Amino acid sequence: MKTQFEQDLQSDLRNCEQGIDAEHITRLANIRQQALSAAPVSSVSAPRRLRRFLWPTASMTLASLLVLVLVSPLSPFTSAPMNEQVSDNFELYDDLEFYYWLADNEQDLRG
Amino acid sequence: MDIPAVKRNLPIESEQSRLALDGFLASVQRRAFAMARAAAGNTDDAMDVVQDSMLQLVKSYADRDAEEWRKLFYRILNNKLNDLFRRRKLRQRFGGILPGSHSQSSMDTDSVADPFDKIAAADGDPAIHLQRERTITSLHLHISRLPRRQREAFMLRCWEGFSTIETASTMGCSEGSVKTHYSRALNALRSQLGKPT
Repeated sequence: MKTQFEQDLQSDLRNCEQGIDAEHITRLANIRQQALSAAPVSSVSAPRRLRRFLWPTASMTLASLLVLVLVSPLSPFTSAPMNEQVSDNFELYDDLEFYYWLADNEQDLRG
Repeated sequence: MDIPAVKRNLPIESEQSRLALDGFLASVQRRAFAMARAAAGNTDDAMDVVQDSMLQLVKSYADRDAEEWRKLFYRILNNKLNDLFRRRKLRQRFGGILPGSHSQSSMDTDSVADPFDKIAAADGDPAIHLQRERTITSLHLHISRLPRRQREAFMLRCWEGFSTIETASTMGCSEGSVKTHYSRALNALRSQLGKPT
């Protein structure tokens, strides 16, 4: 609740607002129009701003997904060398008996 | 400082927002100017402060909820006034080094204009008008001399009529701080205006 002093101050201050002369009121109106004309269209139009925000976000997401697909161990590009490695190992196991035989014979040959 | 009135046709989808913003700015322009003039003690500086505040509100906060505009606007106005005082202090400190420092004084001819000119143009009892003019001039002078935070609290609480919560939110401080600043501002004004406690 306001005291009498506060009420008097408020009343005096608000009365002085009404005493502002016509010249200043015209200048204020011009300032207001100038401010409104400087408004970026995007700041008034939310859907347009959303669209502007959507494009970079969507492209960044797509790029991230592409990188993920290329780098991922499940991707077809990275699985090919693994298959080669596995088939190499099978060949090694197939020839293992030959290597044992070679090692034994090497000792016989030296002996 | 002549500012040409510029009108631009915004798209139809934003026309309603533009009208709402125009209505809001029209509703606060007199008070904002009067506050800025009381704080700055200078009509041209006050006009510049109001212009910068309106521009910033329109550029940065036009898409905000219309209910938020009032608090945002007064926060911007206070910040712009503080910028003005900082610039003035800098100008005083560095004297003639800064460009344009010699031509500015804190009180212009408008704000110290002869009160009799206004009284002659006004209706009613000249003695009452003279007394009112003197009170207002004195009040503006004392408001401009208040410390920054006290002045802000006073202008928002007493002049604009914000609640303590709204003032605290606008000033970016606690309700307790607002109460302290406001009470000190009132006490200072009471003693300077020679009013009984």
